[in-house]
Amino acid sequence: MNKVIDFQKVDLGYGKVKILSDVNLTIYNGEYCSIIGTNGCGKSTLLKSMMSIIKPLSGSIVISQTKMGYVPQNNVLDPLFPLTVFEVVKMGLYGQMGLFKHIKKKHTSAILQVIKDVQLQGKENNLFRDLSGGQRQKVLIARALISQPNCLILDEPTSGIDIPSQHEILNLIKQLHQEQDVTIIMVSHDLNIVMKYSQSVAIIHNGVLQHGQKEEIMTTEKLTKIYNYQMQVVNQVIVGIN
Amino acid sequence: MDFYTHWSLFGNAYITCLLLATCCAFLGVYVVLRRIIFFGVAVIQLAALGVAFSFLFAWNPIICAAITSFAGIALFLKLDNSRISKENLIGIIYIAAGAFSLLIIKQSAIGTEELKDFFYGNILLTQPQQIQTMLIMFVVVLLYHIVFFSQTIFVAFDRTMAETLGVKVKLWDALFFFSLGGVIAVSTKAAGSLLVFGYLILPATTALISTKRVKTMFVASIFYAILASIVGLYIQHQWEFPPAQSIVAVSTVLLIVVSSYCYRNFYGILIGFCILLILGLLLPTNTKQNQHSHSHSPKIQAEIAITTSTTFKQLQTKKQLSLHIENYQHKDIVTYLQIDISIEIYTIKVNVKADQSISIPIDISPNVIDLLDKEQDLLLSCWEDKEATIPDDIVLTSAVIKVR
Repeated sequence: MNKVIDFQKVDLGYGKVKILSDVNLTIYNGEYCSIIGTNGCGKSTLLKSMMSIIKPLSGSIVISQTKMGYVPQNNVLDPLFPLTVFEVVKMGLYGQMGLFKHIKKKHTSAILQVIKDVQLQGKENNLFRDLSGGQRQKVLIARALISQPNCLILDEPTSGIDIPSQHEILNLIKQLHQEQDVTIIMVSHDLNIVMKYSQSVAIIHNGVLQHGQKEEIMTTEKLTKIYNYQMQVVNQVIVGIN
Repeated sequence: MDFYTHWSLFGNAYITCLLLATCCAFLGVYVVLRRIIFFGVAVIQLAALGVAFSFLFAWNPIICAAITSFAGIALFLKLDNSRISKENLIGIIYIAAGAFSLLIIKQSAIGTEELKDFFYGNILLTQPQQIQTMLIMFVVVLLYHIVFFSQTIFVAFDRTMAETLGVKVKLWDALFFFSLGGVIAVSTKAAGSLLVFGYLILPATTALISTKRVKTMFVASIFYAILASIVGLYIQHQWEFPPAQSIVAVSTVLLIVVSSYCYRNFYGILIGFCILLILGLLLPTNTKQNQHSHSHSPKIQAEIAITTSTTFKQLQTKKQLSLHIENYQHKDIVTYLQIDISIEIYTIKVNVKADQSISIPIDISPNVIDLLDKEQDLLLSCWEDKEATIPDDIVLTSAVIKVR
C-alpha cells in the first residue's frame, strides 16, 4: 500500500513553543483515520502540518503526490459574506486555475454535479449563510471534492449539527471512502462516531501522539486516562460513567 | 450662483468626490466583510506620522505618508497570526503612530497646522495635481481588484482552505492591505479622514443590508456612495454646510432608510424621512435670504500687491503661504476667493467673521514660486456667493500676503 502521509520523529509547534513531540504517523492510501484528543492538545496543529501550512520544528514529513481536500468546521466561515452555494463550491477550483484564467463551461457542469452528489441540487443559488449547519457542511465537502482529491481532511465535520444530518454527512464520507477509495483523515470529539466509522485512530495526549487500529487505541483504560473521566467501551460503544 | 454653473469653481471638488466615492466604496466592501474597519483608522495615523516626518526633514508629505503607511502594514502582516490578536495589533499601531507623530510634529513650527489639515482636509481645496495622483492610484487599484477578484475574495473568506490549495495567501493579503493603505493615504490627504471613512464604511454597510450577492454588493456600494455625494454636495451648496459632513450625513440617512426598508422597520423609515423633512424645512428659509442678498450684492474685486521680497525666499522652502485679509468689517459672510498667481488659480471658500481676519493656507507649486521670485503681482478676486450677505458699500481695503 502507498503511503499518503509519513511523519518521522516530527516536532511541531510555533516559534520556540513545542506542541507535539516525536510524532511518528503513517497513513496509507484508502485509510480512514480519526484524530482524537482533548481541546487544545494539538489536533489543529497536526492537521496544518499535514496540509503543509506549518513546517515542522524538526523531523521529516513526507506527503506523497496526493491531492488534498480540506473541509473546515462550518462555523468558522464568516456568515457576513453573501456567497451562494455555487460560488463557495467554485472556490475549490481556484488552486488549479492560473492567475488570469476563469471558470469555463466544463467547470460549471462539474460544480453542479458535485453539488448534486452531496444531495443539494436546486440550492446552487441559495446563500451559503442561509443554509442549515448540515447543509453548509455538505457544501464544504462539495468544495473539497471539486478538485477531485485523493485525501480528504475533515475538521470536526459533525460539530454543531443535529443527529440525522450528522449521519447523512458521515454516510457521505463513508461512501467517498468506499466507492472512490478516498483517504479520510477526520478530527472528531465524538468517540462513538470515531468508533463506528474509522479504521485507525491517532490519539494525542500531553503532546504525544499514538496511532494504531481503533481496537487497540479505543480501550477503556486509555480513554479514561486521556480524558481524565471514567469511560467504558462495551460492544464498540463508549459510555461515560459518573 | 447655480449649483451646476459652479463647475469652474468646484469642478475639482465634484471630480474628487466621484473618484473617492467609486474607489473607497469599492474597497469598503472588503473592509466591512473582513471586519477590519479600524484598520483604516490605524492607516490614517500611520500616514499622519509620515506627514510629521516630512516636516521634520522637508521631504514630500505624500511619499513620506506612503512609506510610513506601508511600513506599518508590513509590520501588521508580519505579526498577524501571532499570539497578539488582529484588533490588538491595530490598536497598538494606532496609538504608537499617533503618539510619535505628535512628538515629531512638536519639532516643527508649522507642522501642527499641517497635521490638522491632513485630518480635516477640505475637498473644496483639492488641486488638479492631487486629482491626477488619485486618478492614477485608483485606476491601478480598481483594475487590480477586478482582475484578481476571485483570489482576493477567497483569501478573505477562507484563508485556511486557500492555503491548502496552494494559494499564496500572504501575498494576496499583502497586496490587498497595501492597496487599501495606499488609497486611504492619498484620499485622506485630499478629503480628510471623516469623508474617507464615510465612504469606506457607510455605502458598503448599506449595500451589505440591501443586496444578496457579493458582486451586486460592490455595485450597490458604489451607487450609494455616488448618490450620497451628489445629494451631499447639493446640500452643501444650498445651505453652506461643510461638504464632508454633508455627504456623511446623507450616507447615514440613506443607511437608515434602506436598512429600515429591508428589515421592514416602519420607525426607521419614519426617522429617515423626519431627518429629511427637518432639513427640507430649512431650505426655503435660506434660499429666500440668499435671493434677497443676491439682488443687492455687487462683486468685490481687489488687487493685492506683493509687499516684501523676503517673503518669497521663505516660500521657496515652505511652499505655502497664508493669505491675511484685514479691514473686512461687516456682517459674517461666506464667500469664495480666487487667487490668481500668474499661471495658477486657486479657488477657496472661506467664512469671514465680522471684525476678524482670516488665514488661508495655499499649496504653491515650485514653478509658481519661481515666478513669485520675480515679484509678480497676485490678483485676489472675491465673489459673493448667493448665500452671502454683503452690503453694497463693502470694499476690501487691504490684504497682506505673508508666510506662516
